[in-house]
Formats: sequence, C-alpha cells, structure tokens
Amino acid sequence: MRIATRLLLIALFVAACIASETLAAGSWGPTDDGWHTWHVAAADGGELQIYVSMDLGKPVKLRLRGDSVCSGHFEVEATDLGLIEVDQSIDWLRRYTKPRSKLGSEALMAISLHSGDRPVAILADIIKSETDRKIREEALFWLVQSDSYEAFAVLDRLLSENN
Amino acid sequence: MHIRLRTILAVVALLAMSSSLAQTAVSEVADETEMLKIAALEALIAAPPERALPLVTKVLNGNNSNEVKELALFVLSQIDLPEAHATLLDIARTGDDELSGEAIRMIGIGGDPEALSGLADLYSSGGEEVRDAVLEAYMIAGDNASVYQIAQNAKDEQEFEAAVEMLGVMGAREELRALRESSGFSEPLIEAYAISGDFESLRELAMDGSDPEIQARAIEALGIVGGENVNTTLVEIYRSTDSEDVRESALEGMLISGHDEGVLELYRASDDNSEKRELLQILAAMGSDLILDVIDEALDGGQ
Repeated sequence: MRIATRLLLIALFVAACIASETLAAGSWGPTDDGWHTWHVAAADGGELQIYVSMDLGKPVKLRLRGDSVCSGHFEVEATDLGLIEVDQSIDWLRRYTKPRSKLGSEALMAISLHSGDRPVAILADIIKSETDRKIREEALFWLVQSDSYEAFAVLDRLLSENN
Repeated sequence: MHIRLRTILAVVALLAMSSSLAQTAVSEVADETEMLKIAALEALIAAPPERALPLVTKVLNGNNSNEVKELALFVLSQIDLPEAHATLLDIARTGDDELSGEAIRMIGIGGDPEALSGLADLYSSGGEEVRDAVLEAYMIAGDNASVYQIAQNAKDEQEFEAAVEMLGVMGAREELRALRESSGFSEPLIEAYAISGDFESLRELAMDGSDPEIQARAIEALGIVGGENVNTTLVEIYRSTDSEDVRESALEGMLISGHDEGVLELYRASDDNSEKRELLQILAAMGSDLILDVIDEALDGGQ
C-alpha cells in the first residue's frame, strides 16, 4: 500500500515537471542560441531594450539599454524580436531570477525597470515568499529603486508588521 | 488503568511538544520579519530622502527591537533633511539609554552642524554614558572645537581627562597645545600629546628640566610617538643629562619605541660596567637580535 502511494506521488511529480516544462516551452521568449534583443515600455516613460545571450537554449548573459540604465559601450549583433508586451517580457525574465546568480540579479533589475504595476507586484511577491535571503534583499533593493508610490506602500506594510 | 495513564501522558507530551513547536514557529516568523525589516531599512539608504523619512520615523515609533531601531537611526543619520536631524536629536534626548546613546553617535555620523551643536546641552545635563557618547559623536564628526570647549569648561579632573584623551585620539594638536597654555601641564595632556603624535610639544617638555616628574613622563611618552626623530632625541637626552631619573626615562622611552640600535650605541660608548649591564638588560628586554652582536664582540675579545 505504501509503495503504491509512493509510486503514485512520484508519477504525479514527474507529470507536474513535464507539464511545467511543456508550458515553459510554449511561452514567449528567445530559444535559439546567440544574442537576442527586444524592446518594452520602461518605468521611466521611455523604452527599455533587453539583450539576452542564449546558450543551449538557456540565457547566459543579460544586458540592458535605456534612458535610466548605463550600459557603457555595449555593441553586439542580435536578433531583434521587436517591441513586445511588458507582461511577456516580465514573465520570461521571472523564470531566471532563481537560483541566485549574476544573471538572476540582472533579471531582477530588468524586471524592476519595466513599466506598469507588475514589477512592484513581482518584487513584493519575491520579498514575501522567496526562501533565499539574498534574492529577497536584492528584490528589496530594486523595489526601493523603482521609486513608485506602490513600492513604498509595500515597504510601509513590511516595516509596519509586528514581529 | 495503565492504558489510560499512558494515554494521558502521551496527550500531555504531545501538547507540550506542539506548544514548543508552535513557539519555535512563532519565533522563526518573528526572526524572519525582523530580518526583512533590516533588509528593507538597508535598501532605504538608497531611497530618495523624502520617501525614506516617513518610513524610518514609523519604524522608530513602532514596536520594533532595538536592533531594528538602531539601524533605522543610522538610515535617519544619512537623510539630509532638517526633520531627520530634529528626530535624531529628539531621540537622543528622550530615547531609552541604548537608543539615546546610538542616536547621539548617529548625529556624529550625520555631521549636521545644527544637530551637533544641540549635543552641547545634552552633554551638560547628561550622565557619564551620555557624556561619553557625545564625545564620541564629536570625534566621529571631527568637531575638535566642541571637544576643546568641553575640556576648557570641565568641572573636574575626570571630565577634563576624558575630553583631553578624545582630543588626542582626534589628533587635535593645536587644541591640545592651547589647553597647555590655559591649564598648564598635566599627565592626561602628556598622554594626549603622545596619542596625537605631537613630537614637538613632547620634545619641548622632555628637554625642560624645571619639573622632573613632567619631564620624565614626556620622555617616556616620546617612546609612544616613535620614529627617527624620537629615537635621536631620546639618545640625545640620555647623553646630555646628569640625572639618573631622566636617563631611566630615556631608556624606558627607547624600550617603548623599540630603538635597540640606540641602546647598542650607548652600550658601546659606555666605560661604566654597571651602566653597560643595565643597557644589556634593556636590549634583552627588547628581545633584540643586536644582543648577539654584543656576545660576538665579547667572544672575539673586543669588549
């Protein structure tokens, strides 16, 4: 009986993994190796350009260009994916905020620079539910940097909580 | 009967366990909340001052641990707004001992001249801990003039000593020299000269034989300052004096400064066996390798 339960749980777990992979594969985002770039509406009212270098189907480098981002002398030939929806871009980046890494930090920063309410909501969610302390701290940092009313409302709630 | 007893014991044990587990869980949540607040406050350092101020003030007025409040005080010290300075000063005046002391230090870190001048009243009316914290704040802010004023107006020796020591730590040579003119020589002043590295003042005192006790202290204090000039001066003092006490002090100074070459020089120049013995003892006390040169010379029949 116990063995059967275990086998059932393992099967469910494997199915869940396959389903999540399938969903991930089905969502928007660059897949081919090499540099890709896309444009989104930025929080500062301008445009944010995101560059991603893919290797074996996974992002390995992330670069940003925008009015409030100092990208230095970054020149690279990239496949331009054009102007895309903020939600699509954020959803793609969100997948790479974990585990803690340079790319993950850059993904967090990139999310915080998107326009709309979602960056604050995502950063607030990471602060609330993430188990890696460093990732939470980085999310807090970018939340403060976003300098929006909503961001400070989140901070206010957090700082008003009773221990 | 036995079974019922066991059941009761098991229930009691389970209740105790669940209560302990619940307590652990509550404490973990509290730690987590506290940790998040600390991270949020750290992030607020980079926030625009107008946005950070109300949040930091809220933390200080809220039911938070002193650790969280102390960090909030630091963030407050980094906010360059009059309201932030006023809040810091208010907490310095009215906070509990720990927070008040921290707020005073944070005023030093912030370095706002108005808030710093507000500390003078606090110093006059405060106890020893408050006075120490105010001196520390002035040191952090590099406010020599305020510490000098405290030393000038000191009501007793202890207060004078604390202020003078702080001036020494701050390297406030001019203020210390001015104090010498207004209050005369004293042991704390000589120590402060040593701490501040004021070779000139100490040399002057070390060469002045009018008060043997002050002179001896100054010679020893030269050893603390150390350096080429000090070493030359100490050897010079040793050679030029007729006073046994002054010679002792000069040797003590060389011992402190680690000037073993000077001691060896004096050893070689001396014809007096008891003096040579004393100089050798100093070299030994210094743990100097030069003592091996002396032994070699003796074995070679040179001395």
